[in-house]
Amino acid sequence: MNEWLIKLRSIKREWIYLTLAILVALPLFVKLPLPFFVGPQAKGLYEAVESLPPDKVVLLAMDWGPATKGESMWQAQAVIEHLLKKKKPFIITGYDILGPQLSEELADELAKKYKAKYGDDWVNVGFITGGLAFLLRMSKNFKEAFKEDSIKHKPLDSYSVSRKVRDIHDIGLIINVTGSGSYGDWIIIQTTYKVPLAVACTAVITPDLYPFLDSKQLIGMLSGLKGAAEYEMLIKGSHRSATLRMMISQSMAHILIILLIVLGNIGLYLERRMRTNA
Amino acid sequence: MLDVIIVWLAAISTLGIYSILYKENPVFRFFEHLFIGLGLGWTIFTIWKDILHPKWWTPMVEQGKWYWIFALVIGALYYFIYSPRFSWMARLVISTLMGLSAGLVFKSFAAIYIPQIEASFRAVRFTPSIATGLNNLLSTIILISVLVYFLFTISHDKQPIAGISKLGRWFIMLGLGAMFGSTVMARLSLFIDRLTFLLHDWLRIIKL
Repeated sequence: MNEWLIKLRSIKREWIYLTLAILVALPLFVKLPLPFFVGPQAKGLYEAVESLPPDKVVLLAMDWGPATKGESMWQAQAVIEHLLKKKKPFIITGYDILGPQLSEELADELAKKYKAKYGDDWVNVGFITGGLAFLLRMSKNFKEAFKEDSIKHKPLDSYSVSRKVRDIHDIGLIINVTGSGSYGDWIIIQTTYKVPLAVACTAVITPDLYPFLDSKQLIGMLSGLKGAAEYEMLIKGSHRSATLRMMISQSMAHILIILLIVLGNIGLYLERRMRTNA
Repeated sequence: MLDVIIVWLAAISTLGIYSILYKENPVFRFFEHLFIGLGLGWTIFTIWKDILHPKWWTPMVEQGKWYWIFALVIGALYYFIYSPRFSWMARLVISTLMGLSAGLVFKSFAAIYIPQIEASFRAVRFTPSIATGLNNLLSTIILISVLVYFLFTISHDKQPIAGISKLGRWFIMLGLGAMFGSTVMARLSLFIDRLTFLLHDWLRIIKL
């Protein structure tokens, strides 16, 4: 038994990958009844959207691309679906060159379900360059900074969504879906102009963001795929959504990793003891 | 038909990239270079379409704002960095941008960290909620011990500094553990998304 446990320390990595792939795939085929809870961070964002004043617009800062699609796309999809469902007008922009384009595709697809229309329910002003300097300029004069949308290249006064946005005070909520550290610039805008801000980030960034929740600089946060699943649960009820099944896959992978760490350490301990006894 | 071709190309690319899990191979190298090339090409196109054309080219050429040509001239000064004789011209642009960045960093620091410093001063009292009181107490202990760990101007050999500093190090290690756990979670999410794509969009053997 002891020798077998020691051998576990030298399992070939290909076998670990294969086991991981099988365990991750299993919940996608079979519905496993694992519990899942919605945290206060996701509720914070959900309630901010629900209580948004009717004269305000949501600014979606889509700072994500294909590299973080596995997390960010599901978050963006859940947030856009909620906004369209509740008829909350929104403007898409972002630092990432592909973020606004990928989000536009999501909005376009979901618009069919909720009978929403480009220009009346949302506008895409494209990606932005110039970093914080541009954001500060945008905050003072929105239409001067953006001039036109990036889909039809028409002035922002041509659309009912963007017509009423003069400066940052006409924005009721900023939601930053990010796969990088771009949230820092949006926090500066939040602190300077006191506009509510929520961040949907990749799980890697999550530990960095908790202090901002404590200091009330963020009103909500979606953490990785888990955050997307929580948000979907909030907007769709107990319906077992795609992200929820993916989260069960995640749990299976975590169980395997914990098991391998424990077994590896037992193996190490036994090997050391055998060496000492020899 | 086009959709089917796109899904097949994406599936082949995904499998090509994941072939690295077995070992380094030419298929992985090919798809890696393909991804970098596509990304760069798309970036150049989008910068022209969304930024340079509407905000620089159109005002300069179609709206008579000829002075926008100076943006190109000033930007081109950067390239003098390759000339030892004229590199001072590149430094003009670089120093301007450095000054701008330094100003913005001051603003960033004030806007990002001052609210956090304020929020870290917590009242350690157990009314009306014992849980909040315990949370605040724990937060204060962690804050002080980690700060003590980073006090390098006093000796960490004697008590109580040695003990508090050691406690701070343990808290930092717990924090780093949480960060590593989050990283593992993030990477697995990306894998799960790709696997879902292969099983759902490509092979069509699962329903979402």
